[in-house]
Amino acid sequence: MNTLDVYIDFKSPASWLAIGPTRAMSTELDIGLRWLPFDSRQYALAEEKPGETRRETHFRIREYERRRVHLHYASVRGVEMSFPSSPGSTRRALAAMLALGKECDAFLDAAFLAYWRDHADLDDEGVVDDLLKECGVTNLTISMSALDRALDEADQRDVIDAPTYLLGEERFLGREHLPLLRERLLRA
Amino acid sequence: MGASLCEFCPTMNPLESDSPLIVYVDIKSPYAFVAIAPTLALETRHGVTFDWRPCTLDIASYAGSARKEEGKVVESSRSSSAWRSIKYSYMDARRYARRQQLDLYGTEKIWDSSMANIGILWVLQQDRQRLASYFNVVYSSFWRRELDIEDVSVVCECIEKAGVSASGFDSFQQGEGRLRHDDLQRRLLASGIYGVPTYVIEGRPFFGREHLPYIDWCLSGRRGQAPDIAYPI
Repeated sequence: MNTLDVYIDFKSPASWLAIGPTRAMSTELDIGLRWLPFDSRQYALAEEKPGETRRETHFRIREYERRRVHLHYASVRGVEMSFPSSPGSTRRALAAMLALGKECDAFLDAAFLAYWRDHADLDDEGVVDDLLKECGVTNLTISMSALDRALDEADQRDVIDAPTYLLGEERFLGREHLPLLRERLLRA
Repeated sequence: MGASLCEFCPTMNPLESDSPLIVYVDIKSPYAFVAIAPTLALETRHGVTFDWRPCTLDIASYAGSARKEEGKVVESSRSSSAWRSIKYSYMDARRYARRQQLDLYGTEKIWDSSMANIGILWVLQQDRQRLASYFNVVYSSFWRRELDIEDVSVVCECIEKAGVSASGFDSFQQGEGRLRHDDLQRRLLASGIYGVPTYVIEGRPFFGREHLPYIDWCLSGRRGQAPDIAYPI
């Protein structure tokens, strides 16, 4: 069975929206998915300020528009999505996902929902432990240094954002590539 | 005394049009380049006239500037993360261009594409039916590094090759065309238009050709489940 590496982050709205369609493709083509951690940069919405530079205006508007479009597709697809006032760290949950390996599916759903519905702090040990318990996982050894190594590896593989799909050496950033990925996988 | 917008070229609202779809493009954008063919195909399929408009990106203002000579960077104000994003963007656009049998070579500098984009306004005014030909001539040659789009005689040649008279274009691009173009550019960002291609449907902007399935669904009468984003292949 072919396996596709997919770098995701719980605080990335594009990652959350990609989970369902990615799994659907995986089932349809009978390919495995290896979910890998990426610590994406997310920004709180900035207020317009007097004397802002053109660069500041550009980024402020871009963030607002990106968020609006994510919410649009979340609504179209019936995916719960409420942006927290400021994006928190998700490192602990990413480390848990890494430790779970192939058995992380239930935790993925629980952690994404906790972030995007409840604005849970996914860097909090207690919160992550509770999510693991919800999924029937106890006594998981979570290594933050293993996470750091995985994040270094993502950097070496030139992953710049999430979700990124890696098919061999070829990178595909975003679920908009699923039709091309599907075609490539069918030919592989 | 400075020039002002004339009474014959009324102010254009960036989000409003008589057409069901506004399409913002820039000749110097590789993402706009690969979006042209699927967008023109959508226009043909629906038998409607899209409202094509120029959005001349001020790339240096948000992504830093850079200049290359013989493939090597000789000047740059970009961060390493900005470079990585830009390199990825070109790689990404190139693989989709290849599928359309198009060549896409990275540019050696950030071009001022405003004159070639004013060419879009000119062609629309002279002969709307030739717009696809103009895109074909300008985009394909520019991305093969065959065009100096800052040279008015080169842009005139492209207009002529597209089957449109370029007689009067030079004064248009210095006068009315420039005023209309600049007036529109000043209002794009505040309207949520920050990149190309941007599609405006029902007053809402959507950046990127990944929205074409959704736009197609809207133009088709919204039957069935709305589609997710996807690059057309």
